[in-house]
Amino acid sequence: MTSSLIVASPPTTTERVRNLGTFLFFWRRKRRKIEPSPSSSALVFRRRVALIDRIARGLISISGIGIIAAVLGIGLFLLLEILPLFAGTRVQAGRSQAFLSDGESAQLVLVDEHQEMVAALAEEPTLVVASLLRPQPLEHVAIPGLAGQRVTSGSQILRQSTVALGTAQGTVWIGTIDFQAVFEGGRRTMHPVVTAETQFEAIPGHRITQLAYRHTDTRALAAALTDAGPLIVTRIAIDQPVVGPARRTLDGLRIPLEAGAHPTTLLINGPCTELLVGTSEGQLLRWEIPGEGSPKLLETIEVAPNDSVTSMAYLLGDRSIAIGTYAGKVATWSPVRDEAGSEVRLRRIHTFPTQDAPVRLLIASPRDKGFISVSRDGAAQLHYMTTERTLARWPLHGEPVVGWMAPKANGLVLIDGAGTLRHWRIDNPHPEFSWRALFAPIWYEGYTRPAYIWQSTGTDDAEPKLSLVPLAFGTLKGTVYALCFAIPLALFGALYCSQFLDKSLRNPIKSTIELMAVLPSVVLGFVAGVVMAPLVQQHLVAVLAMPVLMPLVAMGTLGGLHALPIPRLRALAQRREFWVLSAGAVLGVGVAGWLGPSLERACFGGSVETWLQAMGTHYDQRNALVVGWAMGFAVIPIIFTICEDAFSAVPKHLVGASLACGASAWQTAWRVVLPAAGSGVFSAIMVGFGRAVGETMIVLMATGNTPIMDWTVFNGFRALSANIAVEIPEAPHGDTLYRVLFVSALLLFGITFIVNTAAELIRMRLRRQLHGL
Amino acid sequence: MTPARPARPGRRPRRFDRIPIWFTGSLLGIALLMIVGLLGLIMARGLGTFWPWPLWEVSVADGTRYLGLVHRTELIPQPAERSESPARRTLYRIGNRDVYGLDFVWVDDAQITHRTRPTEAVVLERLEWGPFYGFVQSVRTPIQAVQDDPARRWETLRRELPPARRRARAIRYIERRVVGNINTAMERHRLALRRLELRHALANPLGQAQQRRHEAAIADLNARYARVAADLRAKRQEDAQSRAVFASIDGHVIDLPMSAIVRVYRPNRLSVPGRVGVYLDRLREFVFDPPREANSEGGVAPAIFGTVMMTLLMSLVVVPLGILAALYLHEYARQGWLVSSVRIAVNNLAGVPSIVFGVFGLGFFCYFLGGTIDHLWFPERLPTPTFGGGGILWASLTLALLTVPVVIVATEEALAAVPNGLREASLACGATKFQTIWRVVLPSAVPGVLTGTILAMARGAGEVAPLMITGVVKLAPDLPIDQVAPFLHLERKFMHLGFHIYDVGFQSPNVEASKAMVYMTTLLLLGVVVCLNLAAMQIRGRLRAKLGGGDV
Repeated sequence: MTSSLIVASPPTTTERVRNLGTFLFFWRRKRRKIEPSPSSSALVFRRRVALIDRIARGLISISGIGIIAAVLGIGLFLLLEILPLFAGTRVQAGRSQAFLSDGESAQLVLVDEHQEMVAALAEEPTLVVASLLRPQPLEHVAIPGLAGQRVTSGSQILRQSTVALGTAQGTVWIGTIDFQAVFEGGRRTMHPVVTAETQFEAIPGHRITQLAYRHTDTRALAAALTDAGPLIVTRIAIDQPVVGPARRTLDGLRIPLEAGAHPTTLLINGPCTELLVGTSEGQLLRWEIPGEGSPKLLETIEVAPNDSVTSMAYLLGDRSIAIGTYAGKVATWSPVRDEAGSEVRLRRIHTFPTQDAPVRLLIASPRDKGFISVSRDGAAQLHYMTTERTLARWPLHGEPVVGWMAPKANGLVLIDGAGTLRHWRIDNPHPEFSWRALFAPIWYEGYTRPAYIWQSTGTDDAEPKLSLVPLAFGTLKGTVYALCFAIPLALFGALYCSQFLDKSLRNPIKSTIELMAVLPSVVLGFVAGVVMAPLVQQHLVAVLAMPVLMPLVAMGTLGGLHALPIPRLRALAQRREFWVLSAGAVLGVGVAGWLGPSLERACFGGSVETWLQAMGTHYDQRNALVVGWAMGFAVIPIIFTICEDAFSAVPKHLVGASLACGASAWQTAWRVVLPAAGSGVFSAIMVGFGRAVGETMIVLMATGNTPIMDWTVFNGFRALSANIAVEIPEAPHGDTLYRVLFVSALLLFGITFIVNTAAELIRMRLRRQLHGL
Repeated sequence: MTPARPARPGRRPRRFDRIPIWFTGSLLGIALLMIVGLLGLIMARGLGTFWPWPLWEVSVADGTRYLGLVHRTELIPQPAERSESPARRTLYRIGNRDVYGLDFVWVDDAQITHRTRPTEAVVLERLEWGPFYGFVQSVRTPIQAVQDDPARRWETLRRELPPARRRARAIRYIERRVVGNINTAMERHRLALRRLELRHALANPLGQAQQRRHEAAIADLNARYARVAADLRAKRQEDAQSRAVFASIDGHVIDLPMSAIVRVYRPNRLSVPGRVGVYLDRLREFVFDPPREANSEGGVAPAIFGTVMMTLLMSLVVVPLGILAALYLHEYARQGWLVSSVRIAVNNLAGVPSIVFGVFGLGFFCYFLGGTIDHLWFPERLPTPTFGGGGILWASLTLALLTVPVVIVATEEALAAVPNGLREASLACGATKFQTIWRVVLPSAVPGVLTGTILAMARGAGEVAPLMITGVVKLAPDLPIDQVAPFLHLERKFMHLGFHIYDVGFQSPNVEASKAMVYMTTLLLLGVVVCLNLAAMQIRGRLRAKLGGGDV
């Protein structure tokens, strides 16, 4: 804008256009067309300019607000991504249809993985198959080899198609019942396939009322309970030759039960070495069934005093047992190694809400550690063992007899006493999630007590352990050590820089320290993890001595120069104080390196690592010491800059007044400048804290990333941020782990956002305060 | 700042008052030492990487002989009881990974009986198995075989290397370009077929015609591939006839085609200019060539390219967005508590951990946006993601989000530094608000905006954590720009200097051998970032000077 415009008389329209409106050339062109009438053209022009102004205002406002909203929307998106965790479990009733003529005698029911077909078996040795999708006539498939017998009990194995059936004649039939997909013209239909493997007379002539069967590659175990008779276990040794059918050697055993013990339910463990018997007296008997020799009673556990065990089931992984009782109690028991010895005993580690009626069925989920308990009065509850949560409850309408979960754990089929087949679809995407799982100690399988564990990669058998506490602990540990290292250096460095340093040096030194902030953290991580970590391990004592020795030697050097009776050196010490101190610090490194080995020999018996071992501490090469040092690079410049600004902003008249009253330079700095800038210092530390909390690459590269909770400086840790970086590329999109990582990201976001905001507010207050002084 | 000393009795001597000051000064000195030491360490280790150090022949007491470079020496750790002066040991890099299995060997200095620098020893850098230290045994070409005289062997080798390199380049051209083009074309036809199938177009005659056309094209391409492959075989055979044979110090012999030699020199005979020449040549290779041997050798050209391209893409997005947001905040929005709090919030976003932005980028850009794009426009490639995985576009956008607060804050500062008098003068002259902003305010704010942009670029270039999960890979087969239409492939994964440091320094199977490369990469990255920051500081300093210490 030229001043001629203001001074000169009002310009012609042409001039104004040249001066103002050149930013869109076509305008001028258009304007020339209407040259003949200048007054109307001025009007048109003014309108146009006003229009442009309005459009620009609108555009800038909209895009400005949009951009800011988008940037601030990050938190919102993170929140949206974790919302599905709370969506809960939905159970939706499917078709129910009349299925078996005699529901009470139903022995087992099966469903395919697409939840299209269901098959069940009652007394008749024929499999009845129905469709869950559309009404179509029932299909009957005869069980080969059981013609003429009546099936009185059945046993299914989780995630296997192997089925065992016991008959009224004392025969045990073993085979597989499976669904096979057949594709016809692009349409898929499921068909049941029944194969017989073997059958034998377990208790000839007796009616088998309860049957348990498990098998491995080399052996199998079948336990059969008869009406009034004994409990019989059949050991089967399987010899599988390279070609040809397997040879089976059978061996029947009678389990000597105590008098008065009435077994109600049987279970066999995965390796086929133990038999678990639940009794109507509320006891659980653990019998060891060795490959050879007689069975041995391992322990008798009162699982339900004054109650009786009505239902038992192994949960996925074959470690924990869900037990339901007549009083409606549901609990899971796991083998727990006791604190002292190596003895493993079953212990109740989780309990669940009591049902109103006796527990009739316990159905384990084939995908996770969940299970469904069904009471006799027809109430179903879906539990998740690890988190001790009951995810859903729903009424069944009818007394259940048998039930089974769909192979993907997304459905349940049940047959009730009237022979009706009922079907539910279960939508349960995040069973393992709960706030307690993230933040409270959880008693996991195989642990002696509840603990905070992060072990996200659960196999099929082991539950994912998603406690964020060890990770938050790691973040906190790294931050604390980083701040311990950074605060003194940055704070006192800034004090010196702003109050005592030569003015000509102030800016270069400040810029150099600020240069620290631009070092990419991956570089710091590399130097810390690959270069410093081995060095520190080698010269541990020297490194530990450095914080003391470096300032001491530096001050000693300066003091020595002052004390020396050589005027030139004293002048040097006075004029180049800072450089002498820096050189002294370098000297300190040398002194520490020189003293290190002797110190190690004198104090730690030659090897500090051995000494630490003896003290019960394991030395990790990548540890909190190294991380603290490396994160110092990230944190020092931040704290330094803000502190320095705060100190410099302290009004000069305060300093002058203090000095004039006779205070020394240090007294002024310590008693006047520091308190005046106190909130600035505090906010600097908070911002530094925020930076250290979120630092990723340094902790990723310079800690061992082991999620342990130990304050020792010689151990590594696993921080929230590094954990995200490590795990999120592997986490399937939409999985619980994926969303839990989002929770931890949101946690980091929240912490840093709040801390930074608070720091900013404090800084604003400080500015106002200092302004008022 | 020494205060006046009023001589007052009864107070402790003033001399000790300096001691706390000295203490704070020493802490500042330590902080300074840290940064200077770190930069010095990286410089020293990085710059020495490519220097052709002498090859030592070492005979040990037990009769073994080694030929290698001194890597480092250290004191042998020993138990406390022993009080004699500590012995030293030296780590030699003996190379020849294919022969020895390990690259390095520790030798006790006390055990060494004999140590020389054999003049004929050569360092052979080859395409596979890392460096080879040994001697030239013979050189064979289709027309001659030189075995006798070491000088003649060396001469022949030097003479034959350039044509071998040309042959290798021709072969590589066929392998990468010609065969690559055929593969791309075939893939395109295959995808077209799949698309037809997905649209159920195979039933109608038009679709069938198209199908036939694509199938014919594929058959044609297959035939072309067969011809090219035959040509390639012939070329390879011809190339394999020129060979060089090298022997290690203990008599192991390797025989390799000359085109597999990257560089060969006799470090113990090199003059200083010759050493500088080798140094510069290795430096050139480092900057302009792709990596070899799991990134532990060769160059970092794709990583440089990826870093630069990602940073540019990011700036392209972040600058206009940042300026628009800042303009709105400072010029248009009504100043009040809402705008102040928005300003604080935006400011604080700069302090949110970068990994959080990475998580957001992965969830929003890659899975949500990319997934949607894939379903709409690239259904034929599913389940292989096109945009639905990490890529340079998503990484750039993520970093743009990460750095937009930097630009907003810097631009706002610059806008605030423009004196209100200028605005008022412009408005008083009848200019509209937009005209004032466009012609008066923004031009004065340009240096500030530039500062913000450069700071954002520096921050973006040095960030690794968000990139790790939004598209950086350790080895990308193709650059995001190439000769295949549409030339710019924003969905491709890319390499990055920072991630290269992480990957080679930590995930490499041979960390010790690749450390030198990492130092050099670090130096490069550090150089870029520090230069950008220094430039920003410079501009900001000038701006401050120009505006006479305004509130910038």
